[in-house]
Amino acid sequence: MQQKKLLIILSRAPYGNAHSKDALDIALTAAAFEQEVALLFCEDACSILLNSQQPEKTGQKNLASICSALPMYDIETLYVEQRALKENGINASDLILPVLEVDQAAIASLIRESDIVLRF
Amino acid sequence: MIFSILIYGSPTNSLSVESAYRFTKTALAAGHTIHRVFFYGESVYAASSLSVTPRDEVDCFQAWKELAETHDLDVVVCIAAALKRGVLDPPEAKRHEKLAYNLAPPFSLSGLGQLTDAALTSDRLITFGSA
Amino acid sequence: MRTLHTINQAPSNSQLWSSCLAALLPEDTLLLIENGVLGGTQAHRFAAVPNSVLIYALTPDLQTRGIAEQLAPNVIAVSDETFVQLACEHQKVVSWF
Repeated sequence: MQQKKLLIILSRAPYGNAHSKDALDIALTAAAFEQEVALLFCEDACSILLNSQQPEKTGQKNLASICSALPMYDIETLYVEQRALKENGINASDLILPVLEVDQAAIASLIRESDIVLRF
Repeated sequence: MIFSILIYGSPTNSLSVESAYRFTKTALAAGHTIHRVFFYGESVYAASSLSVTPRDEVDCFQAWKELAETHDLDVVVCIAAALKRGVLDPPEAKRHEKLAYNLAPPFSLSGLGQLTDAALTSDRLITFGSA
Repeated sequence: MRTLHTINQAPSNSQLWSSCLAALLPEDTLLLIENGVLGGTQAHRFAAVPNSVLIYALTPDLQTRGIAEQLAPNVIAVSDETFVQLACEHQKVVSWF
């Protein structure tokens, strides 16, 4: 099967919108179809990876749990916007998976190197 | 050029459905191929045949229906997004024991695999989305 | 590798605009669509964007909002047809919404 490099950028807070889960669903499906998928968490989306979430308290699906399954789909590399982590006072150790912190220049490069970019 | 279009905005609360329509129509007029139009998220409502549009407003359902029929477009509606929003075709309505269905040809329900295929098969995948 | 970026929100959505503009590389093109065209009237918004980046705004969206005559000198109004052409001329389209 043809393979393309797909970059999916999440930028919104974990709950209260359909975007975050919908973006993850695309990523998982594309990975299941053996595409090269990279995920980038920007702005409020850094909170999606927090390891302390208890979304069942408000009847939500645990997005962090969904993310923890990503390596099983061969989505190994999770990029996180460095500036967003800093602004939100989040440390890499607060996150559910190992991440690669990236700055704006690296993000621009990631976008350039990908065949398809979807930003939710 | 082979285009696929991803629509990700409400027909009533965003311009995504309309912008995607304009782009698709223009691309077709210029002789390009539209491989697939994939309705995701809130845009699935655009495929409901039960919407009643005021006379002085554009009926986006009718517009897409006519465009799709005229050009034999593959207008696919994401099944997961559609079901949870109450956009069902006859088999799904029956399967889930719902009162009625509101999705009919040329629209069809399918999964994200069709979006992935569209991404792989097309020269360009263009997203029209909204918050 | 030239990317066509589209942005469809008004510039008051500063987080979106800041992220989009920061992602523009010298060979890229920016197209303002829908409410994004509202950002096309003020040249200062693009001060940090590389000079070689071409900035366009979709004419029907400008006309809808009554600002077709208010475009900043560095923003060019283009038709739907040109949007399609731009999509062909660039390797990919990234939509910022």
